[in-house]
Amino acid sequence: MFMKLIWLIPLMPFLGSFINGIVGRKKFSKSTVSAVANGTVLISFILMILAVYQLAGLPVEARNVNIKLFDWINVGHAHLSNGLLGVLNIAWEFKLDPLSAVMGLVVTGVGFVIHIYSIGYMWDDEYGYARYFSYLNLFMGSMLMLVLGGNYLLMFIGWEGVGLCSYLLIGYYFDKKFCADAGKKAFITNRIGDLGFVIGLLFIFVAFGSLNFDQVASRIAEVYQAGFNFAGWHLSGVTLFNVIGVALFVGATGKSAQIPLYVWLPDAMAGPTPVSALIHAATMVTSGLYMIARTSGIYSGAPVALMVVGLIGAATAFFAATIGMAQNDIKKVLAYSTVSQLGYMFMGMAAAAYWAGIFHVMTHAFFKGCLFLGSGSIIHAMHHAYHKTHNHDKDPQDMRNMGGLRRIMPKTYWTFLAATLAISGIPLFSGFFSKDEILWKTAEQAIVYGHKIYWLYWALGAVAAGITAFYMFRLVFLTFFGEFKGTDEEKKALHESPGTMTWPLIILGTLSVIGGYLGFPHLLGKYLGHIPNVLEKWLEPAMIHPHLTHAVQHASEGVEFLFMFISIAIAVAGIFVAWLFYMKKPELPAKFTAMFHGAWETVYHKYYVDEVYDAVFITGMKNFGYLLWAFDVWVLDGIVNGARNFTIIISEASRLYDEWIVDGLVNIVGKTVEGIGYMFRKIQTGYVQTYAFMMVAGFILLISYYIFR
Amino acid sequence: MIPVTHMLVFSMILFGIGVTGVLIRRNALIMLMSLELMMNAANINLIVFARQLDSLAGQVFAIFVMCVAASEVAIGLAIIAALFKNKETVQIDYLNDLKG
Repeated sequence: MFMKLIWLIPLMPFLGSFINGIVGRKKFSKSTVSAVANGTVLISFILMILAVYQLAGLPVEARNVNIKLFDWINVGHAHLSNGLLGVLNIAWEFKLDPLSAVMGLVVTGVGFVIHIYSIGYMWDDEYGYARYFSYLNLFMGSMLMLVLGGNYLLMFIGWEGVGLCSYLLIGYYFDKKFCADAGKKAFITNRIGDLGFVIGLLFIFVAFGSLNFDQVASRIAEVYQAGFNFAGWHLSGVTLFNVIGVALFVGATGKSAQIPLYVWLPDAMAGPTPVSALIHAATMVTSGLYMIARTSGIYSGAPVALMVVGLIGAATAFFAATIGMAQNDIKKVLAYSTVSQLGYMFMGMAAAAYWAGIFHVMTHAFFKGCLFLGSGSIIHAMHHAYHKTHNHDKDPQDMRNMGGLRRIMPKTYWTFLAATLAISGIPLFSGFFSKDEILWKTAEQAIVYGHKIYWLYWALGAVAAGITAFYMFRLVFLTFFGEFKGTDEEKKALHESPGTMTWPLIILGTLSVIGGYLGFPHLLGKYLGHIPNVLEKWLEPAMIHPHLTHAVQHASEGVEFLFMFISIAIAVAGIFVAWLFYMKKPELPAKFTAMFHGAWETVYHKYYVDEVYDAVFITGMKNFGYLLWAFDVWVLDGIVNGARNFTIIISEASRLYDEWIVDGLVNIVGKTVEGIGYMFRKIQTGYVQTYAFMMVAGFILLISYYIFR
Repeated sequence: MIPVTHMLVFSMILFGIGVTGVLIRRNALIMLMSLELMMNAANINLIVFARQLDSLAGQVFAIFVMCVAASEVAIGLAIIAALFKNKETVQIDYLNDLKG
């Protein structure tokens, strides 16, 4: 019964957004606004749990529930390769299967927790409490639409919706220029990716004749065999799948912040911290992963596309991690960490281990959500401390001003530490299981199937794992350990955050410890008393592996143990280096940066990517725009003005003709009559006697004529 | 017996005096009187030819003319009286309101 109501899940937050946005902004108190926003999300969360509970009760092959509300678009057609006619038939339909169940639970669960956190974090905000929650609910609705939508178009609506909300929330402090700029940057960068996404959708439609997930999935083998004929050109099945895969992945690079479109995510930290946690770490940025997992059937038959995904993912994981080492802003470190972790997830996708990617999406949502909320808690405390001591110039996000917060904020510290251990890949914490699975699957591609390039991906990923451990512990050591680097006054003003903020931290911290046991590795499970890999088994029916390229093989257990050991060793090494640099010998970092000054500067300035983009694309676009402007002003306006001037001249000529020729003729007639009249009026003297004289004279003349003729 | 020619010449002179009076006198009353002269000249002609031709028609016409003259004088004098009321003059040179 609850499975029939999944369409309510996205609707509820939309409703909350509507109420808060229209009515709540003016009329509601902060408590009412919070109740509406959190209540609607809670209803969605409960509905989600109940629906998934029922879904789990079904037999494995029946775990695919489609709820169609009504037809929406029913036009157009495509000539399919098999001679059939595909009709564009888009309905408002929602799909609950194991994949959307996992994503939906993560989105509603983490979303609800972060909503609660937002109450505490935003309570003193003077920018518009209701506006914030209206946007946040709108985001939840869009994200759930993306995840639960039953076809690619509904997914795209959600995809655009979350992009919009991301823009709105990044630019939440709209009167600060850098926030507004960051919002625009995110929106425009995403727009570039969306173009690729739309192209991918168009290809899917013309090749498969449908955008419905199930219909596309059912035709994969057929289309793969037949290839693709359209408008006179032929593509083989592999090429077609590669094109679709790459096009969709371009969309994913925008939304999920991969090279080359990752630049917006670090800037997105200008938004409120709960937003960073929810949108820019836990949910929205993983929509690209969800999209690939949903399209797994096509990606499985697209080796080149997977290779591109892997290359971009591995490169992003590595480069973003290196940038993260040199940042001093606590949120910037986490932002680059997010970009890096997203790269990992794409590596998992590239190894055709879709479930591993989704597994990392889930664990990442827990630990990165916890890390962001923890950083928010710290920033909140620092901000209040600076506020109380009337020190408004200091940056509450700069880690160099922190230190020793361990004793002041114990709850934040312990949850933050748990999440940090998880992200660093320490065994028994969730991040270890998911990250190790991804690295192992990548290596397996190289070992078992002989795809040599996957060695490169694995190497980049492994090194990035070490760097991740290093920068995360650098962050922990700088903020929580050592002595507080501010004044004593400020130190006294520091305090632990309120309960609405610490409870979410505790929930997410706990989840980032235990969340990994859902995807317990087969290898360890086998030796530790048959612990099943729940998540893989659960996701299995949702992932389509037509195995178009090769049969499934596995490497030997010994090799897998070796790789697991390598992962652990790298993580521990990263932590050790961080401890050495920032605890044992704090003078080392300075020496180190002095030694490798050039390299450090490059990393500190994020490889100058923003500057390069600025010089190449933005300046280029500006110049192009200037060119268009000049064209507009000189050519188009010239034509228009020319036409205007021509018309003016013509009309002037017409006026002269009218005035001189037409009026002249009329006036000549008038003047003639006037002149003649002027002459003849002299006769009319008005004297009776003149007239009488005339008459008599005429009479005499007349008589004379008759007499003398 | 006075010949017809004498009488006709007499009436012609009388008519000429009347015309001259109308044309050159500036007083409207005198002009009216001159008109009477011209009409009397015409009457003389009528009578002369009536006797000469031995017909009564001319004499009847003369009676008609006298009637017309009487009514003309009545109207003419009324006009002049009205003129004098308005303009306080009957000098015809001041009465050129219809000048073009």
